[in-house]
Amino acid sequence: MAKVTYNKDGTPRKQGSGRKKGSLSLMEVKLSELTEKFELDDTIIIGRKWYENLFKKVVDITPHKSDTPSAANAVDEKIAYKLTTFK
Amino acid sequence: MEKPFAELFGQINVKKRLNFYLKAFDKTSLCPFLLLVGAKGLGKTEFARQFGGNLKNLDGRNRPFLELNCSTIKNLEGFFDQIHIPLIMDSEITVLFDEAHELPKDVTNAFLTIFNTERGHTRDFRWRDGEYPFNFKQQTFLFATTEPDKLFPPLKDRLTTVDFEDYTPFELAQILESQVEDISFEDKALLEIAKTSRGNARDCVKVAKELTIWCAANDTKIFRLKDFAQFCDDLGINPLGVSHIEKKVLSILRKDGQASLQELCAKTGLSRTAIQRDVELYLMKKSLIKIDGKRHITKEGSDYIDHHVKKKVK
Repeated sequence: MAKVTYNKDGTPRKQGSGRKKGSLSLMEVKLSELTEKFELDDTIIIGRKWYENLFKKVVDITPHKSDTPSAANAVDEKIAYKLTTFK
Repeated sequence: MEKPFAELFGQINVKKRLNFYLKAFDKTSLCPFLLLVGAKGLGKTEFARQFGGNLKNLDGRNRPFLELNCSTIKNLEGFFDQIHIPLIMDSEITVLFDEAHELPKDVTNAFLTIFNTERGHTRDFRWRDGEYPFNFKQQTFLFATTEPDKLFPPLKDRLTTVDFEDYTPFELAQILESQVEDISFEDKALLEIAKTSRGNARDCVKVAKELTIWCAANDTKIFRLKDFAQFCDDLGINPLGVSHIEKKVLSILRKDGQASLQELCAKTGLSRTAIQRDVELYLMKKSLIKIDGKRHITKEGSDYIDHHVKKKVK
């Protein structure tokens, strides 16, 4: 008898449900085929895992912190004064 | 030569003391580190400016006057880099630290050393790799604050306090009259307008500007007592300078006879602190209410409401 597996809610999973071996929701396609169909600004749907594997390094780059104070901070630290000279 | 502070009204005791320090400065080139203390709008900065204008350099020329807003001094490094080195060091100058209670901690601590001049009139302050000289015959330091309680006590101990007093209605009237040109007043009218400035000289100057505009708009050069009510109505000013929320509290007390602080909070929507600090203090100062646990309206307060508000309540 086949091993019974369970759904997340605890009910037994129906036999035959799920992906069969070799049945893939993703397929290989040449980039040239896609560029024929789409313009550069078109949006296409791709696998999130694939995107993350490929572009992870780019996504993870954090902006470089400058050691010099920003212009806004420099203005903040400016001391306000008024110099009067009398005749 | 014109007498120092001749253009400024009131503050007789302040004038006396500052004149004394000016006289002493002429002989010694030294002045104590003065701390001018008083509520906002009493003229601390103006008196300091005029005091500075009467201090002479060793060569007899007038000494420049540097006014610093302490809330913009963020640290000791900024003070030395932006102010002391370029403007004070080796110069003859008077420096006013306005809003001195806002000085940051490290500057305050440095000042404890710098202004501790028990021995002589010079001091070299060493900080990091630098040495910053101070010569109190060349540099005069003044401080001003509205909140002396927030000043670090050891620093306050090193300063000589000069207290500013409230202006009398007569002095306020003089200030007001000096600020308007080409308008003459009935005596009582001038006094009534002066009272709306809540004892504050700066507010008096503002009222004078509004009065000038009002007289121009009404094409008049004489301001009479009968104009006062219309002037107040047009500009939303209440007699005695009572604010609208203070008037509301007075009206509540007139209607209910007495109220607890909690009841006043509920009826006005203000917090306890706001009522105690922003409302009751001025009403008590003007003897319009009294507090003995509960808040009561006085006869003056009842008269105020009857004369100035009752018509609107009806």
